[in-house]
Amino acid sequence: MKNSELFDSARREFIVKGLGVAGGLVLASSTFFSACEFTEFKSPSEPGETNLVLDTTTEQYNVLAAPGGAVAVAGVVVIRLSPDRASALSRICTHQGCDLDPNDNGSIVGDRLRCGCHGSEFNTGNGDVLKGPAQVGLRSYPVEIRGNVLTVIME
Amino acid sequence: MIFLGVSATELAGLPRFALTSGATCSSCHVNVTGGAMRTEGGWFSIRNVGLIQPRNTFLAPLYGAKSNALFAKNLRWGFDMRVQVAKRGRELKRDVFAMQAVPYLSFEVRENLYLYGSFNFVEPLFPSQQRFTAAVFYRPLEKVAFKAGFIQPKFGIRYDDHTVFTRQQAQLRPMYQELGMELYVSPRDWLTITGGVYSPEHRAAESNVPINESSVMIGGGVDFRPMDWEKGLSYLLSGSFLLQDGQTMYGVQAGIGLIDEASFIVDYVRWENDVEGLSPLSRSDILSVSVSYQLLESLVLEMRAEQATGKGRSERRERQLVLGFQVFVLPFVELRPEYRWRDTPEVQMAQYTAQLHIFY
Ligand code: FES
Repeated sequence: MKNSELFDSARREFIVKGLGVAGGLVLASSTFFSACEFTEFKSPSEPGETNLVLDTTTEQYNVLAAPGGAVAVAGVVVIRLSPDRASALSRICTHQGCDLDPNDNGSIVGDRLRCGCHGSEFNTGNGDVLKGPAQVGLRSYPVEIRGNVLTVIME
Repeated sequence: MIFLGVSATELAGLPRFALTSGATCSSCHVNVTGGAMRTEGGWFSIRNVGLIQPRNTFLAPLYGAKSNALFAKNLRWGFDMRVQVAKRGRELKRDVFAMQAVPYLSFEVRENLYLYGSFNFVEPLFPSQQRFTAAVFYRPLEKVAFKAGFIQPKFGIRYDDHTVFTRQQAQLRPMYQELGMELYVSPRDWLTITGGVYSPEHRAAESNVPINESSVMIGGGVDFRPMDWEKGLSYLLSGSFLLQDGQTMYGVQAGIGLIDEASFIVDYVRWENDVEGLSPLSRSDILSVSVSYQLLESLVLEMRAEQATGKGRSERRERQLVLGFQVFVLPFVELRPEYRWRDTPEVQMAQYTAQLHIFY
């Protein structure tokens, strides 16, 4: 057996044992693992930003008065889903960052918000990915409806 | 053949392994640019690479095959199956999902003429991926080779990881195929010149500019692979381009390998949209730097640092750091635990991932 092979088998034995010990430690310390993992959503509208108040009697937002209407405001696309339901989704496509403004690169077909760049589709109600290449859904914000006023809760 | 005795030739179809083994892709793979289907030599070179050797264990009967031939010597088979555990989806919840399950077949019609094909049993994750491949590879002269059929256009270098920015951000997916043909000329052992023409049909499915499907995509590149056997060093210098209707891509890669020990690769890709205004990003510069260190033939430490910067009507920057191991637990069974940190305009996250890769 050549020296290098001896060295390699010694290393192998050492590492196989080492891996066994490491495996045990890994199993025993799942708390450590979760501590090293984190997910922080950033958004054009970080929590703490002011809510968006949209009056559907104004010319700017009157498309939101009827179901199917949608408009891009600040960092979100606001969509009127039905007389008593609306959604607000991040307007930045999670695939490669194209703008989902429905009057520009984005389009709404039925319950889908489609990105014109590579064709990703998101559920207009909750932002879930319906078709790739995007793999991560759009962040969604609650919307309150009071009479003619829609309030997107950003906080 | 001199390479087949050298350790770690198992994945020489990947530049990282080519650098640490000194082998060329075609010394182990049917496809001259790499890919999962192995030649007999390629199969032999990996059949003993594993932390645990099954010879004296209850697994021995599973490892009794004497070659990867099926029925006849000129018919060979193989497969590539991957399952991943990672956070994904809108809430970035941990998920276990199959990435691919692909059996391969290659048929050596006569010396230097191969037909090969594969089928992916897992639903493609991206629109530009194709479920099947079918191609012919022919080397009429020692220095000239030819490939035609459904092939992945020559651009940049291959990685065994679809999240490497220079592939992912350029929408070059694993199993991305186009109908096309490529010509390879190797006037020297260390020099290969490649040129190809392809249909842009699958690329159009993911492109950020509209592509006329009846247009033709042109690609090509030059690869320098000098070796210094005395010092145990190998080098890589590669330049390539892909021209398609509406978008141009260029790539430059440089690498150095310490045989059986380590590799260092710098990979730069730029894409430019020729059609202004259709996408908020008109240009993207992508850089990926990767380092590998081979603790054992069957245990490799890998690190990667990457950045992609998009410019145009809007701006965008993404960064990623990856630290992981490639562990060949048994021959043909690889486990890849990784720690990944990623920062995009939408999210900053760090997670552990693991991939189980079974191949043959
Ligand atoms: S940026 Fe939206 S699908 Fe690619």
